[in-house]
Amino acid sequence: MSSTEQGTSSAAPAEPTTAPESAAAPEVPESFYYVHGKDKVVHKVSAGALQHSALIHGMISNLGYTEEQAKANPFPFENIDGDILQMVVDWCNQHKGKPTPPEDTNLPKQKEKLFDLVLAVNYLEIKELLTYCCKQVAMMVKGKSPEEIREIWMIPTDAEDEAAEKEAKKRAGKEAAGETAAAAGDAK
Amino acid sequence: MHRIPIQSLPDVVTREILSNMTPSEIFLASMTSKKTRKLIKRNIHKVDEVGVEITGPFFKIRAVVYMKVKGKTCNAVCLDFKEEGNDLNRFVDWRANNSYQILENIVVIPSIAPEFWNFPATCRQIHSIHSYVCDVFNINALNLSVRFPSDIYHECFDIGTVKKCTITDVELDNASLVKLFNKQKNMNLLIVENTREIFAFGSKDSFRHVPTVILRNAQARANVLLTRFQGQHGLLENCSLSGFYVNALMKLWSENEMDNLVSLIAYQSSQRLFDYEKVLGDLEWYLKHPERNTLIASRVEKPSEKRIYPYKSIITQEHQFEADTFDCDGGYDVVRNSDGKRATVKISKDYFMFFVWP
Repeated sequence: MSSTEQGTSSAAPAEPTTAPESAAAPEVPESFYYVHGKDKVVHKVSAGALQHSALIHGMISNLGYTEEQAKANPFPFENIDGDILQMVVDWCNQHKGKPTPPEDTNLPKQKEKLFDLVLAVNYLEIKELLTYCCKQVAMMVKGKSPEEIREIWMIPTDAEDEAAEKEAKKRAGKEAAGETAAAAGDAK
Repeated sequence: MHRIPIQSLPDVVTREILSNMTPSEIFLASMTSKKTRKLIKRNIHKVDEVGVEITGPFFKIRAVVYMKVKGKTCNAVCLDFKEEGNDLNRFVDWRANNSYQILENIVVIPSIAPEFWNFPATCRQIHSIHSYVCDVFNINALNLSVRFPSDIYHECFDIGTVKKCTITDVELDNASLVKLFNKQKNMNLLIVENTREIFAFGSKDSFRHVPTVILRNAQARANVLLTRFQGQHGLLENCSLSGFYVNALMKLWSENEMDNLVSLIAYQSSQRLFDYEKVLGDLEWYLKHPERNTLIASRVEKPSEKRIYPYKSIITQEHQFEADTFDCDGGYDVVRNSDGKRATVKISKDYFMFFVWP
């Protein structure tokens, strides 16, 4: 299992320099957690960055893991491709502790990955990133005719839907008949 | 070109995508397949109203299907009717017409109107596209709202189908308005918008039977309506009220002449004086001389308890009232002798309100 420890130093928020020393709260060491996707590549992410994900935040809030325990128990997200998880982790690091501006320039650019990204973001419950991704999906059909929308959103025609439905019914009928025959054979 | 299988996304994601699309884009997406239309219907955000706006000029009618969402009006799609020859049988269904023009935030579908554009085919097209949009946005198509921002094209809608109608104040004396009311007897809300144009005020009140009326620029017409309104709820803005007509309303109501009346709220124009003291003086006089009350077929009381009038008009969907509007504290009660029915009168230099208690 390989490991990448990215985003931990560059994304750390800068300490305010103007605050008086006496008023400064004692610094709490930042805790880190580890996640991996389908490719098993482990990403080290700060708890602050992970707060964007309602799913992970809910999982870690009561764990109280030590650094070693967290490292030994990375959260597995087997349903998310490695490169997609990487994009999500990058985004969470870039937006650690701050809200997303309306025009976010630090967003994943690869449009061909949008579908997988939407599913991953929805699964991880990252509301702000989901909103952005959905805006991107909506933008794809701006100014397009129904025929063009059908193509972009991969929508089958009514005739294709009907044919698929018939095929599914036929298949289900055959399977049911097969099961009945098998059951009759067992009974004999 | 990058593609995405929209039908494979979870509903929560579809909902978010739809919330980022304009009504026209949603309309066009719904035209891709029956399955997509179902998907949209399942996930569409709440729409308050779907209506049709008709604009001219004559023989080149545009029927815009619009919707209201959280008080904002957005156009979805429009049919552009053009007269073409004398071929009355030529009829192109808007669904079969693929030559959409996608302008900014509206889809334009060219349509052909027969020589006389009030030919039922035009009417059918308009009702058909309105019903379609209502279906996509889960709105009851029977609650048809129409707007006539320029002229009144009453021919565009079938008899008895219009429930809510918005016109402008310059059209109040238009002869077409009478035809519209004769045809649309089920109309339950009329809104007359203020165009701020200068026009001569007539005294035509063909709308006095509509159950709920909002006049945004009532001016002197308010006084006519105070004595002739046969509906239930009225909201009159920018009025030029006269104490004489206010007293006349109370007298008529006392004599069971305005029996449908439930509420009437009239706001005086800030540029005009209202002799409200005259009405107040009369009310006070009757309050102090209860023996004379029989003369006005009612008695006047001034209850001391705190009361809030239970206002239940659809006007609340169209107008934001001040918080204390229905607080009847300090108001005068007129109690009808014939049946004991009670109405509260609130009056000041800025308004006259008349609330009949259930």
